[in-house]
Amino acid sequence: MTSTTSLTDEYTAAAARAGLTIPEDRLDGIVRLYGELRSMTSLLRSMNLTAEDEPANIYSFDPILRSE
Amino acid sequence: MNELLHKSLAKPLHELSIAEAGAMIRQGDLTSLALTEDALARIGSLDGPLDSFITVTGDRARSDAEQADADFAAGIDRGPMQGIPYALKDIYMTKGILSTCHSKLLVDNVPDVDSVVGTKLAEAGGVLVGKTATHEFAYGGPSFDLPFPPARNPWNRDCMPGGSSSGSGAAVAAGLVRMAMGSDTGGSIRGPASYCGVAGHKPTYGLVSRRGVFPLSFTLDHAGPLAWTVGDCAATMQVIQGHDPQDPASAAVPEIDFLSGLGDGVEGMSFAVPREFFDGKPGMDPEMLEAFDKAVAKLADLGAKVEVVTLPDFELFNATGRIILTAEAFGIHEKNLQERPLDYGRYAMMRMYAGAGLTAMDLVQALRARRKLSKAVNKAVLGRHDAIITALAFTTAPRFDEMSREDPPTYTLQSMPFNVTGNPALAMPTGLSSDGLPLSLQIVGRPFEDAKVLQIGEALERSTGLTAIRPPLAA
Repeated sequence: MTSTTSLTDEYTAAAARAGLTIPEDRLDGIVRLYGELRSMTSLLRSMNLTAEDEPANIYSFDPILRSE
Repeated sequence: MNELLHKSLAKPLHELSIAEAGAMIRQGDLTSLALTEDALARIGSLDGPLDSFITVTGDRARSDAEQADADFAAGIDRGPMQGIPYALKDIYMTKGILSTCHSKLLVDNVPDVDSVVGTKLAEAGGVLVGKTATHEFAYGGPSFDLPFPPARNPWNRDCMPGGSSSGSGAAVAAGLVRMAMGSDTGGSIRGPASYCGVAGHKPTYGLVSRRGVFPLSFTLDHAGPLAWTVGDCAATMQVIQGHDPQDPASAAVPEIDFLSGLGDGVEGMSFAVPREFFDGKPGMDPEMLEAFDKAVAKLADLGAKVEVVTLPDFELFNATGRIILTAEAFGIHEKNLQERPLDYGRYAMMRMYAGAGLTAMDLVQALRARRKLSKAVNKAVLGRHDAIITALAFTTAPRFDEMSREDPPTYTLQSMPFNVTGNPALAMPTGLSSDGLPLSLQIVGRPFEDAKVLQIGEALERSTGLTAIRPPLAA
């Protein structure tokens, strides 16, 4: 499990790369939100995604319905 | 307040549906101008404590109404919205009218073009009475650090109206307008509809143009109506649907007839109820579940077959949607987040900032998950059933004083799955809780079967008689 400190370090490094300045009084809250997103990305990586689950970059109904 | 009563219906004007008001105008018993003056008077007398409007366009409304009346007098009938007052969420760009997205960043923004939806409503003879409050950029809120106050819930002003189409939900529930346009990226039409006790339709992705609506998430954004009745949603959809080649997501499909099947009921239809989605989950209000079960039983009484089904876990849909939304919102706002982050309200800024940590691989995995989940809904379930009937909000409207002042508020809603899949989804009331707040459910259909979704909703609405109940504030 990622510790709060390492999550904060991971986020602040990403934010710096994105050119963001983080107000000190908001850092903890933003890192909490970022932590929620990290949990979600982990959850999606637990899915059994196969070659059929290919997004083709742009989402549209057409390729989905054509495959019926 | 203008207490005009109709001689035959003995109903205050604000309680007339779009169809009822339109019929009276066409019969010569009412003018659009009188209907519009009534709406403006109600906004003037009731909206102060609700803050559902950012801008009231009185001059434009009177001009629109006079034109609608003149057209009727000349024998020109532009369809169900002619002469009907409506409002637009303030993320809809309006030519010559302030369009702020409820944000300091656009506090002086007066566009030189209209949204496509606004143009269609104007061309159909609708009467624009104003622009409604939203969560900032349809994302962060409700907030108290923005140029305008947050909208409040007409059923109880200490409660949130939901968001992000907060003002649209509140304005319709208070009877200020019959219909207000919203947008729905993760539930922003259906959430306010649920908390405010009105009908809210998120159309099929691609059915309604989003051009001229400030984007939050390109592949999740939907434009749609909130209205007092399901029929009023149908009247609006009849006008605002249609292919727009300049909206990259717009679908080139035949236009749908939203009106002729309304009233045909649900006999012979088959409905899927994904009970594991919500039943037994933490935070589900027993009153919400009881009202849901009664509504499903009512649909069965009306002649529908109901089968319990299994969908993939809600959290997979939610994660997929949240990652796509956060990545796309960050992409849209990146420059302003870099250059003027403190011009955003605290909550929108924090939500968008969190997206800086997502990677390209995270987004690709979410897009792959989206395809898998869309197949599960559309093939495994809607391949065998006409619609999914499922819960929406777990609770009634939360109170403002329960909000964290530090972190952005979250709503316990099961709306995101159908932004991920793009299916049409209707939120509608199922009753009132013991403390007098609206309860709700949602009806989800196959892609581009929006008319059937509204047909189902209308049958349920008609059988419950709930549209006769108004918030005490607006009575």
